[in-house]
Amino acid sequence: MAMLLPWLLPACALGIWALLSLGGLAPSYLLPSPVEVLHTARDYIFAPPGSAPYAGRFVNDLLASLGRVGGGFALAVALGLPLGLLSGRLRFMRLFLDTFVNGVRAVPGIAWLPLALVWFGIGFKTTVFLVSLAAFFPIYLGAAAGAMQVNPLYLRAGAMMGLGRGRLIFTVLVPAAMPHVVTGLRLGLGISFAYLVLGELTGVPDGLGAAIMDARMLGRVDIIIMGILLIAVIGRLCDLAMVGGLKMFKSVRRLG
Amino acid sequence: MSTRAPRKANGACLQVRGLGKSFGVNGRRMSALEDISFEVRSGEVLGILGPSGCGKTTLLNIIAGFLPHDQGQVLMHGQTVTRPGPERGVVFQEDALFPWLTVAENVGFGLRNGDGRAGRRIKVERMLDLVGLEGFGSYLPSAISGGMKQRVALARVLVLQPAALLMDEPFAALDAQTRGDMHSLLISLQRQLQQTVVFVTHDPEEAVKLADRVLVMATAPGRLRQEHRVDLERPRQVDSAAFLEIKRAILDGLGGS
Repeated sequence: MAMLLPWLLPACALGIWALLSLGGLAPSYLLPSPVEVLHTARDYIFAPPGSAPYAGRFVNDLLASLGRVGGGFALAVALGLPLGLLSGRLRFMRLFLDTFVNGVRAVPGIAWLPLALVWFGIGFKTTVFLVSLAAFFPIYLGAAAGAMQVNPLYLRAGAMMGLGRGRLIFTVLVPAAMPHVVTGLRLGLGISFAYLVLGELTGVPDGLGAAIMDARMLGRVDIIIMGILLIAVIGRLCDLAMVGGLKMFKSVRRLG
Repeated sequence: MSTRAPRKANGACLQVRGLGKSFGVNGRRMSALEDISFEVRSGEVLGILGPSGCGKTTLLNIIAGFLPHDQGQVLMHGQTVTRPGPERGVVFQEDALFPWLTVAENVGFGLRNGDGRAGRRIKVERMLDLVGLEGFGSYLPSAISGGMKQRVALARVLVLQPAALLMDEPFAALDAQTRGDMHSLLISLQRQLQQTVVFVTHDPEEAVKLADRVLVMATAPGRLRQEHRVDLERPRQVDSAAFLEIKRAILDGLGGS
């Protein structure tokens, strides 16, 4: 039962989709059936490139998109994690950063798009900029919340057992903050995919977002739906991979 | 005299001289501790007793190096205390074990790489045996009882062979039965290791049961009011006439102003 539970909701959604499309309640040019989308996906993923529009583009699009997500997310981690930990622990860092960070956070990511296009042009740099900007906030806030709620006795205990500041950070502060840090990282990765698509809507030649946008011009709703499903699947797999990778830390295994 | 083996006639392990500490509260300076002076000899067990709010935890935190002080000096073997260090092991009132580490990893946490992996493991196992936790090394703190957690807390500082063991109401959160067990454990460990101990408590019975000497603090501002020697053999009978007499004298001291 517990094994099936995660699949219950996706199965229901699939059932309703099939009912609407195959039952003739929605015309197929608006809502193609699951079978049609499956065929589309088969061609998109496995057919030899050039045999049909979109055929065999998947690997290329995937790699392009993953590169953009990976680059933007890595940048967001590199900035958000240390700054968040600092602002969670040090009052003057919090005072220094909070107004600015929360002000910038209030601006919707899409508002940065025109500026990013002017600054970085169409393509990799703009997408990475948007992804890292969007992913920064949950990562920063997670790290700050985690660092702030660390039991001060843990830090005292570490210092009392002879740890210097540097080792305290890595052996006490980060592990103790880990549950919030992981939540921030997962939210950040999730939002990275959202902004990936935004960045790829701007006319780049490859990527999952670009495939969706092209398909709209061509009236290929099957491609759009397939793209959405692929992003959902890939996003979930990336989340699983990251959480799995983080399990190498005891604090993630044991406090999760 | 106590039944402990005669210790070396060495000097003071810990010296507190003219210690003063105040806090800013709503713009005013509130004096928390005033002119506190005492010494602790090596191998001695000192109890600091006082009502809540008398500053006894503040005093212990200053000795531990967690808090700065305004006046006076704290010396460990003649060296001024400026920050926390493993020569002053602290057992906290609350559970302060690292929940992401097993019992054995908690106990081995402060051991330096110099001991080598095997050396560290032997030290940890020996210490777990000593506090009665053999076989629990692989447990997580969340899986053991409050009394066992305080045994681990004791083990992780004793394994570092501290010159002084500082304890802030370490057994206050335990039930009476467990507290009694912990008292027995502490008495036997102290005897085996000739451990210098400074502990803070609000419980006169606990103070008389464990300490060679009890300092009684007065409140607002926190200052030392009385000193009581407890020259009773261990384990001490809490209902013996001599015990009750010392306890009554301390209670009288706590009560008056």
